[in-house]
Amino acid sequence: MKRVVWKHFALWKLDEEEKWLNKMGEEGYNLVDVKWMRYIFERGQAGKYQYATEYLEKSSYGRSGQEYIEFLADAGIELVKERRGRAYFCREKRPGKFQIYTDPSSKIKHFNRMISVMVLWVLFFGYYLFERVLALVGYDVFKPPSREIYRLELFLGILLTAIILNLFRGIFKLQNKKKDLRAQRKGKDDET
Amino acid sequence: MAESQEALTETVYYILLSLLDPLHGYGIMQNIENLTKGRISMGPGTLYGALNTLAAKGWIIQVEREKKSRKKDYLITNQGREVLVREVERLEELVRNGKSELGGVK
Repeated sequence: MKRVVWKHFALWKLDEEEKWLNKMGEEGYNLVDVKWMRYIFERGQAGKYQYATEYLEKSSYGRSGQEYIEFLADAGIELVKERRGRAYFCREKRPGKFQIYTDPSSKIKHFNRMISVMVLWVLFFGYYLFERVLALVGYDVFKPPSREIYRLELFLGILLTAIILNLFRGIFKLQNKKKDLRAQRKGKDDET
Repeated sequence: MAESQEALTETVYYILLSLLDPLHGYGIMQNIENLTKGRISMGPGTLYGALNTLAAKGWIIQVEREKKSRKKDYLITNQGREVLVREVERLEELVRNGKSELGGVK
């Protein structure tokens, strides 16, 4: 029996997503597919699998990515789905937490991957926002925009601003997590 | 010892120690868990990154497990072995000094 849940997690909430998937697994809903805004589960044995999420390295899409996936398969970890850089892994439940990254340094690298793509998004949306602002301040003085166009531009402008602010919030959150990890690393003198 | 060497992290130390004989990724994780009696449980992502770093440094290499097998094992190089030996000497010094000083206090 399949169950579709409409839900969305922002990239910087990858760990919340992971927690939620594990909770669903505990209730007997095993993840089988991930689509745009949707998670597809299959009813099965409760608590049989553990889940972990990862934002893959760019090269992970290519051949070296296949190598990594095989490396994980060797350790009994199966890739449920990869969607836009996000990988959903599962393994049969074993004692201990299922974590892809365990030391502060590798966790920081993982966060840095997310942050760099989020910065790219900020630039991308920022460019469009800039264009909307130009349109609003009467970029084309000789041909002023009609009321409808004006409203549309205003709507887009507000939407883009909201998206960008949200991205900044996400980047800020990840930076804070990194700060905590760095403090841990100092304590442990770990530098891999 | 002419040149001093930076202390190895526990992660690197135990990976090198696991690769005196050829071993695959999962085997390394299990070996480290066994050696440390479960104290260090290394995530596969962390291990994969560390193996790539060590290979780039020339401390370990990838070896084919069998002909035509796609599965790869890892093995320590002579350079890696030297690093490991020096680290053990450094740790021995730490422990020796610690014990003698503490013994004196008692």
